[in-house]
Amino acid sequence: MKASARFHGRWTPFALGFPQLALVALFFYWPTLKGLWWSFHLVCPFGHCSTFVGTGNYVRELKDPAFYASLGTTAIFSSLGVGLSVGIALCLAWMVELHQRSGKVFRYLLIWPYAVAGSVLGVILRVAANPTIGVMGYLNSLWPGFWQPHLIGAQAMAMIVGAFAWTQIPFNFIVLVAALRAIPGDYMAAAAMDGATPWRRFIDIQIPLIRPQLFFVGTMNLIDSITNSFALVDTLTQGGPGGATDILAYKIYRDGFIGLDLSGSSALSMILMLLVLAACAVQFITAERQARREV
Amino acid sequence: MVERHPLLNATTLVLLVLGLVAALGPIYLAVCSASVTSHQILVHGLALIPGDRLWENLGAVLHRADIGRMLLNSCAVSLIVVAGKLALASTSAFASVYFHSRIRHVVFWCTFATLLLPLEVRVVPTYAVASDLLSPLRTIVEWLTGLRLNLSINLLDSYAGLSLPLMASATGTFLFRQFFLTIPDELAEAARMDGAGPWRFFVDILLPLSKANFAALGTIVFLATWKDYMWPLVATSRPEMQTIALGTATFLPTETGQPPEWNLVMAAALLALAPPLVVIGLTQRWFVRGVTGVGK
Repeated sequence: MKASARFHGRWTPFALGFPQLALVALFFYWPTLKGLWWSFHLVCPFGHCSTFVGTGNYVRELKDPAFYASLGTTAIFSSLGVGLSVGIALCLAWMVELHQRSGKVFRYLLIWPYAVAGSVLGVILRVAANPTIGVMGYLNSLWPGFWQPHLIGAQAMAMIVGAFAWTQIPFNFIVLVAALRAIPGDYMAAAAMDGATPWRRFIDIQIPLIRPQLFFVGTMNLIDSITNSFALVDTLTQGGPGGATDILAYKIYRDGFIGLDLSGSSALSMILMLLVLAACAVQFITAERQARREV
Repeated sequence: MVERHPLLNATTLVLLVLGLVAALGPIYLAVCSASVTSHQILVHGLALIPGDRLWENLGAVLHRADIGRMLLNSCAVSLIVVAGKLALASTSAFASVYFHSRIRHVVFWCTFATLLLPLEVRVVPTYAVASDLLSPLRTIVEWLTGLRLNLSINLLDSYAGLSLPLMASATGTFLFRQFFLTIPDELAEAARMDGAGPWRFFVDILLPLSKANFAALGTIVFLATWKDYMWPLVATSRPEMQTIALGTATFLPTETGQPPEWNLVMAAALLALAPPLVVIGLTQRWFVRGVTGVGK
């Protein structure tokens, strides 16, 4: 930006930025620092007294089998959830692009699930997937005991993975449809003239060209699966049965607010933050590399 | 696309219809179950065809719990967050783009860092701050002067407590900054040459140019706040301060209770998802623009 387009003055930018900085300091930096401080201290349940324990809390968490169980659960949940939501959204975006005559209607209707909060979907599924009165009730009357998400861990996991994908697909779909539509029509027409089938064009032209957006939605979903799946777990399974859906974000909440273990919960938060940071860094570095290659 | 092949057409259509059924199925099931009697669900299972008792059930839910109050809370909190975030994001982005002073870098990077750590990850300490807002001030004063202040403000169970932490994020600043950087420099140069100060340039030139961005960001922020569950869960304890996304979950039957009234549970869910659905339906253009621009 040219220097002549900028305004002088020291206090105006400060005054303009101050409200935002104050809010961020109060509700972002201070809590983050406090969490960091707690994670190195042993804090009593309501946070009024503390003793320094160094990395004791981290060691305690890292030695706790429940931590690894929760980490494993998070890994399974995230990879399945992200794979499913990106895969289905990509397929739907491709179909909309292929079927242009009615694509517009579907583009409009397929984003409606974005309106449904995770907790509301959880409530609906509690009824719809109820073993006695729900949709699966019909299967249960054929094979008694077939669908019991409150008893069978894998089914509970399948339920929250599916629900998570359902909430994420509209976002992925919007981004991927926009990406596909941004590809010049000439490319596709030229390929078709050379005899490339729709599948061939999809694999060799469309996917390579929308790879940045695919990566972007994948990372966003991954971050959301780590942090934002709390509402689904809390309304659908509460981490059960037997810890089968006890993902890290839920464990942090449970340890901190129900177990009142502020130190352990904070140490877990810090570990989860590192995971989120790693995901962001990978996204950032890859986007940079991609941009450089294009230049 | 390029070719017109009947088989290809049929396959894509079938897949799209399947996707649509999966996407709208849960909403449809909610409408069906919310429009029949509780007795029918308990005896015949989940309704698959809409009944005729939708309005009775919605009315019953509105009378039963304070659902009306919860809807009002959700509206209030969402609108406060939208207004606050738009104001903060546009001014801080302006400060981070259009000035010589080095403060613009401070404004940008301090805000940008918040993108990395979502509220869900730092929920416990954020709760501690909201319950005792002046603790940072007390700590700093005690550290600097050794004085122990006896002041505290508790934001829990208030609109301020529900909305302020949700505003403390960078997405809006980021979006406006990206947009301001695409505006030709000549506009600001011309304005300065004509003697306009920063404030005048901001109000008379920048804001009118950013209308679409305001609409896009506003839509996204409204939806995200309406759907938020974790923060209202920890920041409220009184039922009359709950938002609808949280309140719907309290409608779920507990282990020991009367026979569950699933039709009313579903009616509450419908009330919770209807307003955002209307927003998406009416503002589709801005909404899509917001999603592709901000990434939620």
